[in-house]
Amino acid sequence: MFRPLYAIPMADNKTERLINLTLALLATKRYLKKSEILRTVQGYDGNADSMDRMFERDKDDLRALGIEIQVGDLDPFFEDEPGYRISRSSYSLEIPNLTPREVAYLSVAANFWKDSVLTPAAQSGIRKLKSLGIPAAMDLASTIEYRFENPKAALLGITEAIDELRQLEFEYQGSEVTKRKLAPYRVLLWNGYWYLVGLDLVKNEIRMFKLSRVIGEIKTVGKKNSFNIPADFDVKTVLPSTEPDARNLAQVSIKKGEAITLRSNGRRLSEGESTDLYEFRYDLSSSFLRALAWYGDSVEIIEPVQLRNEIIALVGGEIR
Amino acid sequence: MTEPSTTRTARALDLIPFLLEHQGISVTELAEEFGITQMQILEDLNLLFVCGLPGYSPLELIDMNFEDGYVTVSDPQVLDKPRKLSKPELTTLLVSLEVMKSMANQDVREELEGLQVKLRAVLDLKPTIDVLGNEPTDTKLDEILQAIAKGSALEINYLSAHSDKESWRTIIPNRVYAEGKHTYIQSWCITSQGERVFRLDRILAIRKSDQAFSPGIEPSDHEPADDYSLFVSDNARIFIEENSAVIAHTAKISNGYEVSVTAIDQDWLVRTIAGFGPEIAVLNPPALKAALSSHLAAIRSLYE
Repeated sequence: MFRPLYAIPMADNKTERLINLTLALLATKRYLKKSEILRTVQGYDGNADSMDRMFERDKDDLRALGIEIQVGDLDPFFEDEPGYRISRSSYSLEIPNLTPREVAYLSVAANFWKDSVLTPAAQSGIRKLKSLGIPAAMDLASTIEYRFENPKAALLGITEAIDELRQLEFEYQGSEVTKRKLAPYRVLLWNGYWYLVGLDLVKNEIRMFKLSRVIGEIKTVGKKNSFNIPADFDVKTVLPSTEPDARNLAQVSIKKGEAITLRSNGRRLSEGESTDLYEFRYDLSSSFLRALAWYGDSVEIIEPVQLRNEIIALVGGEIR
Repeated sequence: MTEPSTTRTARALDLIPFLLEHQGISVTELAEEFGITQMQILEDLNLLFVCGLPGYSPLELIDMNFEDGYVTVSDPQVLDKPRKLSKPELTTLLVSLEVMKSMANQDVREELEGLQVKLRAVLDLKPTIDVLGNEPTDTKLDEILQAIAKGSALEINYLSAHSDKESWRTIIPNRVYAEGKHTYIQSWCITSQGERVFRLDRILAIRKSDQAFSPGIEPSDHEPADDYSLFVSDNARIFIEENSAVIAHTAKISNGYEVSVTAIDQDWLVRTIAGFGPEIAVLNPPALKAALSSHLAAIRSLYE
């Protein structure tokens, strides 16, 4: 062994100790007593109390990294002193039968999140997968690009709150700014935009929030396991309904040969001389009217009268 | 060093198994792979170099060689396997696959689903992110992807977004991207001799073309048209959200926003804002104001 001559190591005793502790606990088959660890693992020094505190903090730090430290206190030889170890199987990543093609898919997937809050997790995840020793298939060309709204920094904090069943508090810009308290059920990426879905604890209703309209921080509050997510919860049931289930019906007359895209969303009722009559299902009149206004005078609302009046008001006409 | 020691520990623990599968990798490449500077990588390697198992004799230390700028690990001690995926890592990879699935054909979907099952077995994780939307792939997309792979041309019957008219065009597709609700195909359009972007759902039919790629004229720099300036009320915020691609600048004012829209087709803009009624007003230029008025007047005349 030799010491490299460049890049003079910076003193980072804490990191060095955490690595040594991980290695020692991984290498042992039996549980190591605390006294043994403090005596043999490099980096523990000072008086008994301060070494104790150091060790407790180190354990917490490793657990925060997702490293599971097993505590064994059943061995009669240990008397009342607990023992510690890290089992190889809980520490290491094993994905049985992962194929080169699948590794290639994952590499493509990990590159979706260019410069977003998800990038670091995607990149460190794919590095672990690349460390499994399975070569990525080279013939898998990715020809589709995906573009999304960049998720808010809070995204992973929200998924953690969902996983731990903890409540969230935030301010939301609706028609006015309101404080919300939520039992979060799901994050939803819908048509390229991010939403948060959950039980609004004030209104006691399932609500959907656009993440970009959250103002400021999203705070995780209260204890873990403070609510239940219904096992059969399906996010599709809370989406504003789209055509097939839309409740409202409208009859619209469309000029011959025009509004071709619009036609494909409706059902033709009859054909006339210069216009055809179509039936549409819609949910929100505001977005339906926007769609119709796009086509200018190619389309005219026949029924219902209420919707007819709404478009007249929208374009600044007089309701007769 | 401002970096938390847990971050550094995690990276150091991941470095060794990665190096075992990439023996001889250059420090430059390694730094790039881990998204940190070369100096940081060297510091990490130096740190690992003094770590090992109790006893800490040369036989018990992690052993590696990196003095020539290329890294090899000869004794990883117990760090021969990558660490288990963390919850954020797994969540992110699963949602990435979900996004991929939303655009894939049936065969690929099945492969990706199988992969998700394998990944979920790694950690007990509640479902936290769902992905919905995007268009289900149809055979048109498959044909386009094949044409991209071969570099060949296609004839498409396209419904223009600007004029609501259909026409046949010959295109050489070169890139597909999904954005918002729609899938777009960036192409060289032989018919109009320029770069054009087509929306998949507006392609009514496709047939193969035997025309070869001959751009002839290079894509011309369009005259930069004037920017449009709009007032968008708080209630019409959805306009800003849905059209972020063409919005250059947004400034919050008392009851809404002042929005500048980059040069795009004026007719498209008129049609898009018409349905917002008084919630969106044109500030500039006058020509846009006039076009909007006449579009609204045409609708009004239907009901008079």
